[in-house]
Amino acid sequence: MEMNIKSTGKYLTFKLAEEEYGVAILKVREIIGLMDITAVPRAPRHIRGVVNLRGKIVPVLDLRRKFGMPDVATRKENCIVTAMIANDGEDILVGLLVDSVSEVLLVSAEEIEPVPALHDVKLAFVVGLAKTQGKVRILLDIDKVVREESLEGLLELGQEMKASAA
Amino acid sequence: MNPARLEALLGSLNALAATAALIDARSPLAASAQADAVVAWLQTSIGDIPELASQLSIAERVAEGLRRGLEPEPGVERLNSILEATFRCIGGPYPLQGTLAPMTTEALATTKSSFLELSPDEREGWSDFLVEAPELLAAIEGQLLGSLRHDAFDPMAILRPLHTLKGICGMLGLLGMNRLMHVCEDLLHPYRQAKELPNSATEVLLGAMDLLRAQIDAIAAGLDQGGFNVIDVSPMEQAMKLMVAGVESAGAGDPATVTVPAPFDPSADAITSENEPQARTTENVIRIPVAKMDTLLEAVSELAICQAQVTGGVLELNVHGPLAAEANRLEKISRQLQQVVLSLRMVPVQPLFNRISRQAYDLGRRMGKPLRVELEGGETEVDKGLVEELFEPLLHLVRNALDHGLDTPEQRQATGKAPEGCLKLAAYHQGSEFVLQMSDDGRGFDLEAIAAKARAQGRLRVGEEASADFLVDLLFQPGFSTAAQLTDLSGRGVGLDAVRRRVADLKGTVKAEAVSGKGAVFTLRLPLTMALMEAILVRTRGERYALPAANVLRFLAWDVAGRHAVGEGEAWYEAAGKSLPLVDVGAEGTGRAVAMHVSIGGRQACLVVDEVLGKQQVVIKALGGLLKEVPGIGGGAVLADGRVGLILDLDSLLKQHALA
Repeated sequence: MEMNIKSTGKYLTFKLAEEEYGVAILKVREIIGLMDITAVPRAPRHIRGVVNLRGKIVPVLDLRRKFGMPDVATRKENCIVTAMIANDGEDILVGLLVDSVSEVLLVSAEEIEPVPALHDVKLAFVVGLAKTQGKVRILLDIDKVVREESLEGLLELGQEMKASAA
Repeated sequence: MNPARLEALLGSLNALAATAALIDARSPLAASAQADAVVAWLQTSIGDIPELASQLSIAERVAEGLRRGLEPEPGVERLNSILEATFRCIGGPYPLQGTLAPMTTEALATTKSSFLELSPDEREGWSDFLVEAPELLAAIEGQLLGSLRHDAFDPMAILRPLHTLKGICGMLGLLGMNRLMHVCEDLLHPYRQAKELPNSATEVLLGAMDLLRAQIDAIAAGLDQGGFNVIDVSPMEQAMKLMVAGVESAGAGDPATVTVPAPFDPSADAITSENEPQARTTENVIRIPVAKMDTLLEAVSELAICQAQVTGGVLELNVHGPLAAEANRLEKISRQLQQVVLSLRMVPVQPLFNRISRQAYDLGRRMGKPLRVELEGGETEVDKGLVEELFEPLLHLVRNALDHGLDTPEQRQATGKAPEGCLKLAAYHQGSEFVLQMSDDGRGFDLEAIAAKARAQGRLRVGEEASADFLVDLLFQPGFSTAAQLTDLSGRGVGLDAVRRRVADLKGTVKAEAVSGKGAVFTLRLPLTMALMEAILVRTRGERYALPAANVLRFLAWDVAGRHAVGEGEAWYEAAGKSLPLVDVGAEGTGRAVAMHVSIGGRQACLVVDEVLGKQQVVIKALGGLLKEVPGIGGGAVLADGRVGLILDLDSLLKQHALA
């Protein structure tokens, strides 16, 4: 039951396209409004650029692009969620660009279901599905999301969930 | 032989045997010095004993070999066997039976070393040790090296830090090291009033400091692993004790004192009292972790940006009176604050000089090219980070000087020079630059040989003449070396280009000049601080970029007619009679476009930007974990409006010819 102990706790939930996602609140440092992002040439496409966060230069990762979703026009609800990411033994501060932030949600272990087995795609970066108040949120292991090159399978998961709900 | 003389001989021999056992435990230069000491002793003490004449001549040959840096280990064994034979002849027992195998520092460090496990609450004490011990060690080494150079010798300046080290080691339970420091004190004791320390004593003390350094390194490496190996210093300690006994017996002329080293305690008290003024000055020093300093610098530069916006706003309001005056004052205070914070990062370059001269001295002896190191401007202050990064390139330059510049004493005398080579390190400030010069009085550069090599490698056409500057610059090119024979030190054609690359990484330049037969001068120019950069701000790709002002030679009018290219391939720009390779940074090339003539590490190029926005001091910041190695980008800076501007890394940009 180690898995459950790990995943019980508070999650910050946010929207990305039609789905809601959650990241462990312990990883989150702050939520800031969208600010001018300086593009970095030759950086991977999903890294939108860098911002000045009180004198510290922080890279901003576009979660839509990371998950292979299409770009949309920026809106005033867009947010940058800054999180501490464990990377090669050092903690780095990374900004995550999301469509909008929803709420802080307390999820108990019983409310977390494993990811439905799906072809042979491994969703190592998904902790599980939180089913509370009639809603489904995809809980992310944000360290893995940032670190991993390929995040295939997430879009399919969304479609599958819709199909099973219908 | 009369019994009294025999007795005295045995006492001195004990000390000598100990010294011989130590020979290879330290640096080869120490081995050579000790071998000389053994020979000198043999000549004066037993030169008149016919049975030992053959041993003496063997010892002389071994010592000569060691001096030339030949096979130290067999040399050591033979010296030991000579001493053993001497003992047998005089009829006394050889005191160090079984411990005489040649030992290297590594061997000393691994033999019988024990593992010390640390509990978490002990860690802090050891972290403090890691801060203090290297500084004390550096202070001692600095003095010892000064004594080798025959600079003013102040025994108390060695005894004080030694005493402190002894105390710290004892407190932390590093008992072996504590005893070793104690023996070092004993060894220095007779020279407390002296104006000079004999070289033999200096060498041994330097050897002890090597062991201390190895221990510090072991602790630094092991602290996070929860423990470290305690280096067994007892062979060194034993040998030094015998040496102390030898020194004392020689001084007192009384064999009875040989076996009983005088206790040191009374003088220890004396040191504490004399130590007081020194202690008072150190109490006023606060140690601050570099990370905290960086945070402070960040906060202060953020403040400066905010202040610029506020002052700008006030000026726009066009108000007079107290508010405008206060806004001006705010600007002054903010600038002052920034300067103070930057000055906190500055440290004198002297410790770096000491480390380098120690290495130069060792290497010179090992290669049979003894040298004298002159230092100038050690008090010059420079960014702490820079000092650490400069060690390696400087060491490369020292090796290069020893390999290609400096000759052996015989060769030097043949050309009318003093037998001892001279290496000079000088540091000074010039404008916003820190200049470091290393010069030697060797044979300089052989421009003919360089030109021949260049022709052989196709870098210079046959019959073509090249300027001295061009030829000397070739020495910094990868894969170019004129060394006829590879040594284990340098000459593999990776020396000087590595130096140039390293210095370019630090946003600096390196240049060489030489007078054939008279010597060579290497000049390194670096920004005073790595945190701050004098930058030219430009606009291209719709973003603002900064590049080091020091690398911009001039601005040229951009005229698209001057652009030439072979198809889609490499392009170049013709302006003012020069053809410069074009580096594409994505400018549209219309309107206010400017062509910039830049130079880095000897390469020149032309960069076209859409607009030049001005010159500004920026604080260089890393882009952070996810963007560690973006080609062409060397970091970021927060600009006056609070947004991030990227810093162009010219070195990598010129290699890849385009930003994106």
